[in-house]
Amino acid sequence: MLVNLLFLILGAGLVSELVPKNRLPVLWSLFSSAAVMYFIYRLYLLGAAPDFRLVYPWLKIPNLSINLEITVNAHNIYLVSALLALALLVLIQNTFGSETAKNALNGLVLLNLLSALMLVFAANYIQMLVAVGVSDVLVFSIINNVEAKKRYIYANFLADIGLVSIFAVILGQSGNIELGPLADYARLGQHKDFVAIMLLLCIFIKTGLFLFQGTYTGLRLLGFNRLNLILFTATPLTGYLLLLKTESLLTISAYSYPLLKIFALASILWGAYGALIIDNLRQKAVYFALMFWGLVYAFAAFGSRLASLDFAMLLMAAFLFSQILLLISVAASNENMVSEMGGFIKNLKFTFLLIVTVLSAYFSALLMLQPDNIRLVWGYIVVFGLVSSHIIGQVLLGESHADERVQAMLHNPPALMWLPVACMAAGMGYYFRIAPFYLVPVLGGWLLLFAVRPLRKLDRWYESDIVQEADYLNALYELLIITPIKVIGRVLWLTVDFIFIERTIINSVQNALKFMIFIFRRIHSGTLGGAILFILLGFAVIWWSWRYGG
Amino acid sequence: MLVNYIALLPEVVLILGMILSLGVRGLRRGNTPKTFFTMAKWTIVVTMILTAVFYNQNAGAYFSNNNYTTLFKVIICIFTLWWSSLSLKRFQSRNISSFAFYFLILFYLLCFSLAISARSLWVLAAALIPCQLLNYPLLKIDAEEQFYPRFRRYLLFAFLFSAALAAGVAALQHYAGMVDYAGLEDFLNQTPSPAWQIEVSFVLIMVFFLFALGVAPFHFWFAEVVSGAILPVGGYLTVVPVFAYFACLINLIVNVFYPLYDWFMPALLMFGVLSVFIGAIGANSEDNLRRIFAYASLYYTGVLIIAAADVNDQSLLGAFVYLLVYIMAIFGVYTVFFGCRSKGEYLRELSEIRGLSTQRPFVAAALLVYMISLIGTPPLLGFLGKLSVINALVTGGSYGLMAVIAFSMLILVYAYLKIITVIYFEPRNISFDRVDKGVYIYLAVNILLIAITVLNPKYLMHDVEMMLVAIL
Amino acid sequence: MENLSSLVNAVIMVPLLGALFASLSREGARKTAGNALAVGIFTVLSNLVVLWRTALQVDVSKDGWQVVEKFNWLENPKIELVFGIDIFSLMLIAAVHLAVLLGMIGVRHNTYRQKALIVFSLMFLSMISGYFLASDFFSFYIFFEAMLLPLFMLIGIFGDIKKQPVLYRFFLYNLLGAVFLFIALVVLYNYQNVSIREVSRIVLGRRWEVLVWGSIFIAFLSRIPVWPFHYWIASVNVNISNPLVFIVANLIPLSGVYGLVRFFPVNAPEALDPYLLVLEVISIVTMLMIALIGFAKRDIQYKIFAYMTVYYIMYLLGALLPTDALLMNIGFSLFSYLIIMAALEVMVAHIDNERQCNEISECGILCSIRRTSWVFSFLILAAIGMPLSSMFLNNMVIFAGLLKFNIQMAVCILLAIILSSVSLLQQLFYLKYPPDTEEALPVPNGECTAADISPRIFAVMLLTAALLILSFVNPLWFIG
Repeated sequence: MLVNLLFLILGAGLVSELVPKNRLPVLWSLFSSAAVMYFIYRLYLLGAAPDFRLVYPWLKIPNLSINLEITVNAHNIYLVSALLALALLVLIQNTFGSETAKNALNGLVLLNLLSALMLVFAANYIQMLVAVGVSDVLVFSIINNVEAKKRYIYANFLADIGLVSIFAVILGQSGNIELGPLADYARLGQHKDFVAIMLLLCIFIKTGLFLFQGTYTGLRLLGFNRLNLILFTATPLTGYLLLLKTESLLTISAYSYPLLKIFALASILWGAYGALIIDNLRQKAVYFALMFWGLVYAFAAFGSRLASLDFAMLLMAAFLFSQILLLISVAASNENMVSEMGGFIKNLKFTFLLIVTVLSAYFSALLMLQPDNIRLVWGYIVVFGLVSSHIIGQVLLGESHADERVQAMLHNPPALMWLPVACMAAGMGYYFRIAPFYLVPVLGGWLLLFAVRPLRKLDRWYESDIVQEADYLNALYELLIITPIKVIGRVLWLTVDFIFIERTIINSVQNALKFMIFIFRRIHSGTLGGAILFILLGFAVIWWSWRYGG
Repeated sequence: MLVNYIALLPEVVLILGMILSLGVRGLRRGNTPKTFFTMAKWTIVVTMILTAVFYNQNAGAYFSNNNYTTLFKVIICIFTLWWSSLSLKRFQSRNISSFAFYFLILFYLLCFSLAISARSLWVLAAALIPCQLLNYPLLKIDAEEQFYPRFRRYLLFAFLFSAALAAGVAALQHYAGMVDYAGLEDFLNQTPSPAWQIEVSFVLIMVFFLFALGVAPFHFWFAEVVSGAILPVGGYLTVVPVFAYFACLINLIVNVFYPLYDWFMPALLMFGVLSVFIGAIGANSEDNLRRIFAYASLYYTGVLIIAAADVNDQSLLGAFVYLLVYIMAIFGVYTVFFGCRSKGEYLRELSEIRGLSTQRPFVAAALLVYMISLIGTPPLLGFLGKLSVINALVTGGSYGLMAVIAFSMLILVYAYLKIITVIYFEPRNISFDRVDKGVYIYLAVNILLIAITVLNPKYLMHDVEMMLVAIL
Repeated sequence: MENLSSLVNAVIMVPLLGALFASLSREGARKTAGNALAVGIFTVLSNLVVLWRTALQVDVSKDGWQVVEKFNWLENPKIELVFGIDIFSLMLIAAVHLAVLLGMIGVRHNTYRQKALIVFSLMFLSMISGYFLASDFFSFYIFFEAMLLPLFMLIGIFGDIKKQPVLYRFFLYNLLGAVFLFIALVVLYNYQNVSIREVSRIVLGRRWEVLVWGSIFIAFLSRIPVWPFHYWIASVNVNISNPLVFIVANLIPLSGVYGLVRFFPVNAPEALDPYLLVLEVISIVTMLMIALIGFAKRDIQYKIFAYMTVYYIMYLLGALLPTDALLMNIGFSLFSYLIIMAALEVMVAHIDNERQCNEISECGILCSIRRTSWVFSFLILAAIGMPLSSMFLNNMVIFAGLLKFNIQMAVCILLAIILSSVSLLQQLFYLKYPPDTEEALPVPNGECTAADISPRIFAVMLLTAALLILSFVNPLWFIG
């Protein structure tokens, strides 16, 4: 049954890719959405604790025999459903939003969904790596800006080849490709620190944690919908899934958990900083995502790994919040700069309600996790509340800087765009039904912050070009890695290739030949004397042979 | 009585042919270049047939045929026939008399035939000395006057080395008392340490052959003379005499002077190595096509000498296969030269055949094939030659010589690459004349022969071996 | 089996026949310009069919030469030419054919001496197929040397070589390698004439062992751009703008790698072990050096050359590991690698042409010419080892072998691979010249004067992509 559904998704994706770029986009979008909805419906029929497992022998090449595995059980059904739901939201948003290549994007959404699912199902690391790689290729296609593509693929290529080499080490030593026995590596394997740290770095790159967020900040030039698609359902997610799949490997090194903690917390803080300081709304969305992923990793780092349902809820909530930012941008005629907004509350009252709904869903999802790690959850709630209230407050209540056109066109986003978000937020709210005891104070606090905007002094950073345009990390990478490599390459070429080989070796061989030709011409002057000399030489050789030969 | 001399019938036919030519020239008017060619052609054909028929007949003590002699004689006949028919066009296009050329060619054939079958040193000397001396009139045929001094210088040395041969034979007659092969061999076998006069006469005889073959350091005349002569003469001198001199030299060493050869072999190898080096470098130093190939021939002669120096069946077979293969290719190259004409002039300089491939692709391709064959690259015929020589050297344990041959080849290849570059990679700057059908036919036949031999080399490598064994 | 034997020969003969036909085609008139090309494409396609028929008879599970054909060539010295096929050579022949086919499609608008181009490429194809099929010493050597001539002619005519000496050096250097092989071969032959697989049985003296095997080493290394000889190969390769010739020129290292794969490591005697280590060190130094230079250079041809070299050496080192278990993985990986490189070169030629014609400077191809960008991206992503071709899984297995054997060495190899892949990735954005501009990049559908590839070529490239993906899903898809 599941296989058919996967094929359905694959087929729908390929069809969307192959139909002409902008022919009947709504029809094709609806078709794709219908496919996803059908999938969700069939999953729903399975109930909360299904047990489905299919192992298909895929490939048997020398030294490697690979099975494809498809498993749906109580551990992953929520995640699978969440992925489907997010894909559905993206599809609907794509249908009614402003997108130039709708059909192509629809196809990519579906294919990406498929690869994410295969990653979720993976029981061996080959399937896992393939899914990760395919997902990279798909995201590369989703990004439609050259500069963003470039950053993305450099970083992810490095991560991929890192992953491949890590698992090549493991394959070489254990010969086993199953994920289950990875824990044995602690006993058998060598180079444990190397493996663990490399693995973590690759995962960080994939998710774009602190120091590696440059991959995603470059995405600000993309459409908002594409941005959300990538931030929540694609590569960053694959990074986290990789972590889940290979967690047993982390125990082999003493460094891995400290590393994980540092990066997770640093990501939350850096995300908060970016979301506050950076003007561009899309980039803010990226930083919010960074905060979110930081949180998720922090849960893993502090030993309270998220359950499937928790993670699914959190993921959806974070996605919905990002969708809110999208809706604000749509409402403001695609204005991106927060400094160019302000005072929108008059026209966007309904949107404000929507924001509150989504936030209550987000907070509920967070509060659900409270028992496990109280400090982390509350810390995050505070930071997130502060940052989000600051930004939303700036947009809705702040002093208006919007130009006239934006102001004139300001209106609540079309129903077809906000409705799905609202539905999902409402659904989540209904599901949680958390006692107001928790939620009301949190929301109240948030509204207070929203009204007061204690951090309003930070607004002046929007004016500073140095902060806004700064790309420290890229400059650092350029300076520390790329420039030295280029210099070394150039020096090598100049010294070894040019001076040593060309000027020294080759020239001397050529000169030797020229010299021989010169000698040859001198002795073959064609004179009588030359001939006599030759004859004498001949007799000398004969004499020598007679004397010493035989 | 006369029946005993029936083996001489081919030679008699040659003499008759020459007399007939003389007669026609003196008595008949309106002779065209084709007249003498036709007579020469039929004479050679009949000679060849008779040679094949009397392949094992003796005529007295001084003249005997066997498989070995017949093989060489037939090959010489074939190449002479080919070459004379190709040369005809040269005389026709200038409308000059071809009498001297064809007459001399018949005469050479006669001399070579006698020399190869000779069983006495006097006969040998009597046959070969005129060949050397008559090169002078041959070279002068239609040649430009600026080259005459070269020819005269050549004549001087031809005299000198012919005298050496004659002196050597005379001294042997005097000190050993006999000059027939069998007797001399017995004498030398029974005299473990012969008088120095005998050794000197052996050296004189050997030196004549080295000079005639153009082995370094006695090579000084070859490139100059060949490049000065007209194409038919230059080609003939490059292709045909080497068979005769080589056959006689090997026959002498194996059947007469073997006891003395022992100490001479290092010198011979040294000459071979010198030839290989000088040939390879010389080819690089030239821009004149014929000189390039003259020096290339020096290289091949050197390889031939090195290969044959061991004088056992393996090395002789190797050397012979090599000889045949390289002469086939050189013959092809000279055939191509017949195709390289512009405004009626045969082209000599490298710079003149630029871009040949764009206008005469088949001629250029043929040249390419021959050069690749000369390099010894498989799957062309040259590979068989290289294989047999190198294999013989390895069997004999001469790894150093093998390395010399192989690596000098690289230097020689450099010269060939220049030619390939000129004809294929550079743009054309003159217009080439139409190529005669005859040239195409010969090129096609040559390439066909190469192809057949490559696909089924048993004829060359196996059957020839059977014939060569005759002298061992 | 009998009826099949002839097919093995046919694989060699068909391209030769094609070359003959192509050489007889008329050239010059506008109408007949495509004749030779049509013959070429038809020949390659039909040979692929022949190959496929042969492939169907090969038993995948069996090791060693199959469908063996013997030909008694010479009596003295006794030489028997033996041809056979196994999966490894089958993959290589198929890949080479497809690569040349792509190259031919890439040169369809090229009218400069197209006949010569096709004739020599077909000759080369025949020779290299023979080389892969050869299973005795002599045929091995014969094809090893014979493929040089068409290569030399192709590079000479179409290589845009400014300085002839570079070309001569290249040829002489390769010929030198062939001479070494020939000498080693004759020496070995005089000990015992056996098939390639049984070479190790020949017992030579210790001194001879080193000399003979050393010669064989040098012979094959002369084909691979290993330091310091990479320079000549590089200087020839980077000047070639004709895609077909570039593809052919870049198949030459393959012949070296193949030679070493066939002879080593199963066959190499122990006396060679210290030398093997030296070779490995030199190879790795070369890899790193070329990768670094490729990274620093802006020239796309050099980058592709660097990438190819690094991979060839990686395959070589994989083959030199003291196990032959990786052989098939190398074969599968090479299959995709060759096709990707060929297709990439065709695309590069197109883009370069457009760039020169239109003097495009600051326009990212990725957003301007859709089909080109799609194909180009696909190929580069496949080339750097994304799961789009059989390179992904098989390279992983090869890495696993290398890492297991010597992790320091393997890390260096990986570093070189990363460097060369990244420099190839730069090419994805390389129409954006100069790369240092700070200006905003053009949005999709921006103004761009460059022409896209034609739908027909796009279809071919889609087929190629499908082929690569198929080979990822199952490297032996064509025999089921």
